[in-house]
Amino acid sequence: MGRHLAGKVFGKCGKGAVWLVLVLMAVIVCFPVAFVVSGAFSAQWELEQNLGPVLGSAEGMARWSLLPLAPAFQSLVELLMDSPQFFVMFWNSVKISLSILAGQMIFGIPAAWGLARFSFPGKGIVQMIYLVLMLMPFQVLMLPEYIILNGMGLLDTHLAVILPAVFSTFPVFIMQRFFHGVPEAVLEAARIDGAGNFQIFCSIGVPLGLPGILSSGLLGFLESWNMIEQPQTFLKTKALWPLSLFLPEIGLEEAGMGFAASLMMLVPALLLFLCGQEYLEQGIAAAAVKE
Amino acid sequence: MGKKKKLMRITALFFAFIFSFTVLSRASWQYGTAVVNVSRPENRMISHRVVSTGKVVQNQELAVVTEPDQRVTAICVKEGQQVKKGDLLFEIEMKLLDEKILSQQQEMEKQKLQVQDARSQKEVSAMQKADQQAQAAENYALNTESASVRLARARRQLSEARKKLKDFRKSSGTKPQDSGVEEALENAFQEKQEAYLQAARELAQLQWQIEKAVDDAKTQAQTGSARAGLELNDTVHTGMREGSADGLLEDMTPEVSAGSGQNGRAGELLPSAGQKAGEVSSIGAGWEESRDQLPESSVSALAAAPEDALLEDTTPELSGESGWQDTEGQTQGNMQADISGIGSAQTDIPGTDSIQMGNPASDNVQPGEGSWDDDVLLEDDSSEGDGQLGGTGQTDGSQGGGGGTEAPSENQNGSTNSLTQAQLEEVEKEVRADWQSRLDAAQSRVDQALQEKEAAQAALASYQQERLAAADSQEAQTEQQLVEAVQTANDAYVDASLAANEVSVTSGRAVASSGIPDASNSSDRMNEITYEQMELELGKLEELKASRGKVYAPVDGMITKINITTGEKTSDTTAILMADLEKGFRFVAEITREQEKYIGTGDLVTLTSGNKKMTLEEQEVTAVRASEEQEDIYEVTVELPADSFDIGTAVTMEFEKKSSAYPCCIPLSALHLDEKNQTYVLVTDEYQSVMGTELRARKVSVKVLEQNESYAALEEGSLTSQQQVITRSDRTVEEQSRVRIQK
Amino acid sequence: MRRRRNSLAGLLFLLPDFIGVLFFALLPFFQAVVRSFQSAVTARWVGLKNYRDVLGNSAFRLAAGNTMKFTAVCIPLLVLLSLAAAVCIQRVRLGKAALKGAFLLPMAVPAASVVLVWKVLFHSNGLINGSLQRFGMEKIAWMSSDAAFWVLVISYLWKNLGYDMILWLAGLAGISPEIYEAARVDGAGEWKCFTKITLPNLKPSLYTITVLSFLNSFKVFREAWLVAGDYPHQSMYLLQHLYNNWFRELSFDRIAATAVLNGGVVFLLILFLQRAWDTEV
Repeated sequence: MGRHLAGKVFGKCGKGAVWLVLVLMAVIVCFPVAFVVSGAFSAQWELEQNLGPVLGSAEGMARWSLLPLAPAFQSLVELLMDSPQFFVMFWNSVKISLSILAGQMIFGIPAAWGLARFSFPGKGIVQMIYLVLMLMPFQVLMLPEYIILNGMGLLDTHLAVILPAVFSTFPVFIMQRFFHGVPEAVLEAARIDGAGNFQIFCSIGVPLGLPGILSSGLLGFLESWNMIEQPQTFLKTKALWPLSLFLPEIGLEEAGMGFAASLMMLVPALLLFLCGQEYLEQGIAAAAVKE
Repeated sequence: MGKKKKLMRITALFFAFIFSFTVLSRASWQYGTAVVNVSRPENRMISHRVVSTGKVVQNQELAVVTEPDQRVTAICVKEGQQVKKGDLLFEIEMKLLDEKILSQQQEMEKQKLQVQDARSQKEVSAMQKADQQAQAAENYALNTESASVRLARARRQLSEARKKLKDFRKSSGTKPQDSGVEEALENAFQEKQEAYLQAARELAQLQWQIEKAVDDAKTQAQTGSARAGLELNDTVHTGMREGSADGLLEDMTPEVSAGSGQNGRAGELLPSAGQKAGEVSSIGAGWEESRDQLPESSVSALAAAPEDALLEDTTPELSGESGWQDTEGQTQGNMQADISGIGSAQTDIPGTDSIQMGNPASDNVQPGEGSWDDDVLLEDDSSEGDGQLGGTGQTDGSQGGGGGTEAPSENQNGSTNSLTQAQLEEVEKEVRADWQSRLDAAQSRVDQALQEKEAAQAALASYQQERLAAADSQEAQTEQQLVEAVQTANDAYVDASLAANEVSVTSGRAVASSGIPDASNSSDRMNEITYEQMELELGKLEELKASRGKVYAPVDGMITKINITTGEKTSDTTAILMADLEKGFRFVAEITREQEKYIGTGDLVTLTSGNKKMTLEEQEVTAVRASEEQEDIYEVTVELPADSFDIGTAVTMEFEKKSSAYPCCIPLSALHLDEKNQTYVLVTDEYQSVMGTELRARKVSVKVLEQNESYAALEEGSLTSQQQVITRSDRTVEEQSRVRIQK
Repeated sequence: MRRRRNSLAGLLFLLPDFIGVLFFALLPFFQAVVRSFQSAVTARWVGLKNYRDVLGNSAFRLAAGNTMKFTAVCIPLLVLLSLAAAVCIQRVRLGKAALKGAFLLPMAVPAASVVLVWKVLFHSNGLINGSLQRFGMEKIAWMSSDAAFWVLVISYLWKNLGYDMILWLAGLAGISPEIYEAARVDGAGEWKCFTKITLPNLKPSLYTITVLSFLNSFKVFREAWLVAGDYPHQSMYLLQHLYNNWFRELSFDRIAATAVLNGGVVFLLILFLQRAWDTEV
């Protein structure tokens, strides 16, 4: 009884407290993003003033204000107007990411479907292989891939980055789990109706698995949008670089432009993310839940 | 799904936004890229062109002059006109010319007469002088002769009286002891007397010498001493003395060369007169122009003679007297002959006066003044002989052959007759002072000697008195009378001796002063010269007349300047200036200092006439000189061959100097100067960026070896031949700016 | 029959992808295996030399140790934290979506963007130190001492909290409320509910989450490298740093050997997980 009451009181107070804590945490978590945004809208001088100690040029501690003292478009303008390099890289990133996405969809979805809904000999092994491969850091395969790509003459082209990523097993993993959740009954019904496997796949599987596909797609996009190691290793020509390599080139001396660039890089990802948040949740959820 | 749609829209907008900015940023990026022209370093030769326009001028100019103060009646040419040799240039008025000629002739006539007058005057004065000298010499001779005659007589009388006394004493049989004593006293007395006389003579001589020295000095001071240095060397010099009997006493030295300048060697009266006379006459004879000297030397010999004779009085023998007489006669005769020689010589001595005037070793001679300047100076190497004095110069020269070389080495040349009285007195004082001590000494000697003589005389007299007092009155009286007679005779002798001294001094002085030369008078020569000048003038005028007052061009030429005006009088400056066409032309142009570096003598240039009618190639530059009028401007001269350009043509000179080939040459527009005044060029570097292959400019410091107006040669190593150098850009290009090459 | 056809169809569905995977992933891996027995440049057969080299290499040991340490620390930490967060959020009524979004946000932030922030935060004169100082505490040399390890951890947690939280939420959502009702009726308290109902039901999710978290733990290298470069402080030095550096040095043999080792470990790990969860993936 007391326990109940305590629990209830605790619950009520607790809920409020919990809520507060959560909000606080949320804020902390969002802090870096806010930082980037405010930084992008600060003038360089202010950034230097605030971040001087970090840049090494001043004494004392760095400071930061949520709202910049002198909001300015300087950095953004500098980035957007005066650095066509940024845009080159931006579109490179776009190209790469979309290509990877397309590829992953084209190849991955059927693979996930096959693994999820069918059984065949060696499936277990394949799944194991896929899993292991998924968990392998890139560096392991970096060299051999380099050699293969070089042999294919694909080095220093975008394909060198795209192709290996297309055949990443991660999307398959995610989608597999989702496809797993599709009720067999529906498929049976379709099969009875005389639909071929492919047909079933296309008309039922995909639509039903859309959340999974979308979330996998989003995750995949985010992943490729953030790719750093592969482009760095496989792309030598600066003109081919994706945006993710733009920022490392900027030191804190050009913090303003760095923040602006970060913001610019952030926005598409964020937008897409917001677009697909629901699906993401669903997809993740589906992945988590075992049928 | 409004939210989703909204998100989609936002996403789409975002991408559109990005896209537009992509375009914008690219545009602005391109805008910020400079457009340049480039070129690679090349192997070139740097050539320097020197171009200048100048004119053709004549090589030689000719001045046509004419007589001044003539009137121009007509000028027949214009400036710039070309004339041939013999062309009529201008005419002179004949009437005026004739007048001028006539007046010139008249002037000449006058001048001639003047010359004659001057000459005759000179002759006369010379003659007068000679006469004077002769007279003085004669007087001297006569006086001395008479004085010596009297002296001789007195001596005779003295000796007679003595003899008488001796005889008497002998006859009277005086004690030999006494007579011995007396004789000893007498001898002593005689000795003392002689000594006294000697001292007196010496004193007189000294006085005479002093006087002479004073005169000498004065004369020297007054006259030139062209022979100043002469005394050092030649035997000739000995004779080159003033007409005065300078050397009367001095020339007693056997070394004829030396010692001629030594006044006052009082003690050196050494050689016999005869010897001296012989010497001097030989000198005189052997020397054609020594006519002036002869009288001196002769006179000196003459002067010497009596002195010698006086000296010889110490010896008992008086043979010298007779000898002297002979020599005297001889020398006298000589002298006379010589005197006549003087006379004749003096009729013909224009311009040799100076030589007489020259006085050696005078401290007070001042150079360069007086009418004898020119003459005197001629003997001096340092002066330029006037041509007009040619004749004189020759005589001077030959005489001064020894003299001229000497003159500068010792004293100043020239003479002055403007010594003031004060200065002369100064001279005199000095000389007297010099001699004063000796004079004093001599005087004291004389006094002493006199005293001694008196003493001796007194002693003798007293002894004789004693003796006489002791002796027989009669005999004593007689003896006394005789003694007195002796004494009287002695006194008379002394007097006569002193008188002779005096005479010789005064007469000698007369001779000396008569020998003081007159002021030199070259007026006759001057007039002659003037006459000669006039002759020349006349000659010119007559020439002009002969050509009827017309003046012709002496050569082919072009009139460059006409300084005369019709109707005006001519002056003595250039009447007409002509360019001598026969001497050819040359081309003269001006170039700057910059250009001068590249062109020099011997370079071959191309000359083109202004209207492009004629081009001469491979013309050699004869001179490149700095211009006197303007700084930093140089004149280039090119000798033109005959029949090339005409005089006055404007001609352009072109010359291109090619340097050696430089492997690394860039256009000059590529060269820049930075703040540190260092030269640099901008090269393009390829550069990989996100935007692809970019070109950026990079600054490279270079060193310029040589440059002309369009290219510069750089030191090797600063640029490779592959690098591209920015030669032109549409905006300022800095280090690391982006550039784009214009194709 | 159907099964056979199914299997064929299945294979067909799989095939294109599989070929790609084979080509771009398996083949390289096999090559790496082969290379692990060869010398770097000349490709002579050297047997186990490389393995010995690698195992004896101090850098490898450091990196491997760090990586394992990191994994051992982070994953449980993350899992628990995210679980807590999920549980809390589940109860929230107000602003659930916003909160969820907020927590998920870090996932969308590109590593490069965040790096600037990390630099500013963790610099010795950075913001965190500034705050510490203001509260009178000592500065921590984040990047140049052992605290660097915690930088990694913080970075990892920040990024993946939302992600894992969502996963947990999904998992939690999967538990039907009736069970809770039943339990509550039975008189079970919150805690009991939690431990007896929630946790067991989340077991499958745990597997997924663990795997995914493990996967994500590798990604932390990216931030680390961006912030600290090729040779960060010791405590931050991960296997991937090693790979990176060896790659630059062209020590392919060592990379290969390490890769094989790495693969082997992962494999074993998965096997363990599978067994532990009794699941077939």
